[in-house]
Amino acid sequence: MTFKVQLFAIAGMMSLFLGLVRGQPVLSLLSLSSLLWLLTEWGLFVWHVRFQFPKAILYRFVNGERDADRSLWAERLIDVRIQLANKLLLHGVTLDIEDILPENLELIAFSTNNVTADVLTIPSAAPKKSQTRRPESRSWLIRGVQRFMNYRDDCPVNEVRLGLGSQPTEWGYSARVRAAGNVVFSGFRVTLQSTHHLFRIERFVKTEQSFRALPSFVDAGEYRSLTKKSNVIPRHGVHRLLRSGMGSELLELKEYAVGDPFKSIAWKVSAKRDQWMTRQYESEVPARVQLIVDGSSTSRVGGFGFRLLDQMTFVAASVARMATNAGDPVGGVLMDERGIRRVPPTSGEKGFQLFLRSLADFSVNPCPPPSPYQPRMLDAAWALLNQRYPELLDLKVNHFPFSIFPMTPGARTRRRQRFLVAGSLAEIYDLSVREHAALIHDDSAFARRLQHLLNSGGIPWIAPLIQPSDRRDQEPIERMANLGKCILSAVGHARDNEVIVVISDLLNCVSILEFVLPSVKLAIAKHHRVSFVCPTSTFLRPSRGVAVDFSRENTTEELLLVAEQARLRIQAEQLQRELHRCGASLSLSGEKNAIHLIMSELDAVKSGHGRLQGNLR
Amino acid sequence: MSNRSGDENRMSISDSLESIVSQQKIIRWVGAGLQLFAIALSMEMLLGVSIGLGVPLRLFLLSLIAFCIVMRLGWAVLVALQVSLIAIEPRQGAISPYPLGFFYVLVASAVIVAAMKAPETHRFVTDYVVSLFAAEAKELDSNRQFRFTYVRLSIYAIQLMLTVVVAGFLLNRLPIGLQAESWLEWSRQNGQAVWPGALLIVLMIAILVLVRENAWRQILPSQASLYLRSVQLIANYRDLFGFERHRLRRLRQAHLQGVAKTPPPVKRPKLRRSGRNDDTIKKGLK
Repeated sequence: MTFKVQLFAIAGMMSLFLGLVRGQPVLSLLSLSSLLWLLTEWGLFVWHVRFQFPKAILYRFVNGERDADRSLWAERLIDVRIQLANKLLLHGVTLDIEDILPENLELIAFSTNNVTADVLTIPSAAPKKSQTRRPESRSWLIRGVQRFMNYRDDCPVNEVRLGLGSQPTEWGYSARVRAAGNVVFSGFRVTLQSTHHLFRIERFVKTEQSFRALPSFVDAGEYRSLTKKSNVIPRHGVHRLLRSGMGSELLELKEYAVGDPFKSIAWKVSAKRDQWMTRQYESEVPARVQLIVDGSSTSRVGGFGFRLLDQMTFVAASVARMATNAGDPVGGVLMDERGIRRVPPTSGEKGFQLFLRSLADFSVNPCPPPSPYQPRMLDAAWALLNQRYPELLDLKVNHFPFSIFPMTPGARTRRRQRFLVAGSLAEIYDLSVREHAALIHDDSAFARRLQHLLNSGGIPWIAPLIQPSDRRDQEPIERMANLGKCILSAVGHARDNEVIVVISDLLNCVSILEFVLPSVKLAIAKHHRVSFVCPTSTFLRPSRGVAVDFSRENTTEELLLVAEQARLRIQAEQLQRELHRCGASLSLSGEKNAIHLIMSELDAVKSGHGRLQGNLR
Repeated sequence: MSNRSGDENRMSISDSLESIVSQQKIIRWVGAGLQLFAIALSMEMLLGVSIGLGVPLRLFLLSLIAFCIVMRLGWAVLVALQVSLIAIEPRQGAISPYPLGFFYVLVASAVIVAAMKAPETHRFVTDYVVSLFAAEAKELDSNRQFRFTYVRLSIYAIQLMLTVVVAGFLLNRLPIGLQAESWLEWSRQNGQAVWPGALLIVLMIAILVLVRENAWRQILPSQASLYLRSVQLIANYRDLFGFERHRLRRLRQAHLQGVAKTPPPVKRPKLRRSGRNDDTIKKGLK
């Protein structure tokens, strides 16, 4: 029952009373008939709630499958189809169904393939082709007029409205997976309301489907080797594996033996020596790649697809793809606040898939570090609860104590919201009454629960979820120390002449590199190659040529970008100097150049060449 | 090749659909304006306050009613109608409505419901007009839609008529005004209760119990659990507030004492800037 009904009923009862007292039959009749009409509408609505609402069973098919054990790919389109199991008898009511989109999905368009004819014949019932919800900046009058016109132009493509005779049995939309991790479809928000918006009931129908989103990768194409393969004198301590095999480099000539392939016969040499000679080729020695991915909290901040971690997983997956294509085993060390996880080096397609799955699981945001309570957290949680648990915010069931203490209307609203959210959290997490009371009065306990709720709701690590920590000075040091341990661990598990790729955000840690450099030196001393890849916040390499063009008017964003690039350039040069001194190479941002650099390192390992000149790429 | 032709067909269908939709939009806007004007005009006539008013004032009144309809303020229109009736309708001894009054109420109720259901009726009218003029739309739109709309509007009309008839019947039968005396006489003759107050109260309590029971049965298990939680919280709120205040005070004190015992920061390793750091490498090798 909405506020409108209450006004309607009060007006009807008052005028009925007046009509009876004053002896005005038409007034009495009008008031009584309006009240009776309201009663019949209520009865009709209750009938729908009791008998039709439970029949709204919905199925979701993602890429044609209902099973949630399939994997999706980041940055690729998926097709989501929703099916209504039963036909509903809706009279005088409409049923709005919204598929709650995961934060890791970007809505693209309403898809019309295989849609039943009902959707196409009812333009007002079918979702319109629009990218996203239109901004709410339009005036309330225009919105009111559009509501009167019954246009649902502002309806996003994941919503549909059902009414009598306008029931699409199947509808769908396309979406793009933003980043690696997981895609959790939580359910549908279903709203049953009378056509004149007098009665309304909102429910969240939980139909959870969780998919693993594998990281995207790029085939970086042909890369040109930075080393000359033949006539290379390896460094002291580096041994080439000179063994005959099926490689491309000539190893030696030997006398023909029975069973040697005819195509390997060296005809000219055989003619000169007057005996059959065959060519022997070098064996292609697989060189293992160890990818160390630093997924600490700083790399997880930002929306999905804009995190530094997304760049890192992209580089790691691309390198793994190319190494797998070349027949080299790929392993990894995944590091964050939860600890260090090793992915054993494996080769082949199966090993590549295993590595991608590990990266995808690693990309899922864990519970964020505890942050102090902020009012924005409450706002975000309020919005999430309104979407996922509208029934718990109902004032009929979620009571809270009234305070006669005088306070401003804004403060009273905040208090009301906090009590309602605390009650809902107590119900969701099955808390005791004591813990329920603690949520109301203890800010830290409340913030912890809110963070957990927002994180489980798939909200990315943005401002309401995490706040700048008071341990800002200590965190990078701990991170660098852990990174050093990771490199040591990789060296400990390494065989001979491996490539260790460290993918980490080091640009802001140039001054504390001494926690990492000993491990790097140790790795190089043990004849491994160490390569660093640093993602940048701008997703661009801080090249030297970036400058402000004063001939035209620059936007604030462009100026900020130039300033940020200049800052990154300075940091990158310092970082490169430090790493170069140790013999490690550095590449910035997740572009193809980074992948090429790593593949060149791999190539150098195979050829036994000396160290690469780690230039700022 | 077949895929290509399929795509082309799909594109041509989507183009034709877009043109139909744009045509429909124009007809919708015009139709909506006309419908709005008609409802507002009939409502203004029903109000009866505009008699003798100038054109600007009447236009203002019309726009006010149209605004209420657009913003779905049906209750405001009803209130306006009731207020005008309070002011205009002459007082009578009997409450039983006369035929003209009955007709007035029927028309007024229909207009109010039309105002509240304006989008739906408007869509019906528009679809009908579109089907008359647009051949493509006629092909695309099925008769099923019209059948549904006819059925729906008929049900609304029957519902409205019934409510007005039942209200008239109740006003005629209930012992109010002049009927009270005849009721009293009938009660005396038949030895019944003098006033049906007791019966009405019992009936009202029974209806209230039924409604509350129905409401309780409709709520979800999680809502029932939350209701019990919140009731328990309110019952023990004072004590719980006291416990929490005490606990927080103790925590604050413990925190202040713990600040002094903060562990020292991580020591930086000594690293030579040039040459190999043999000590570190040896440690690592060990």
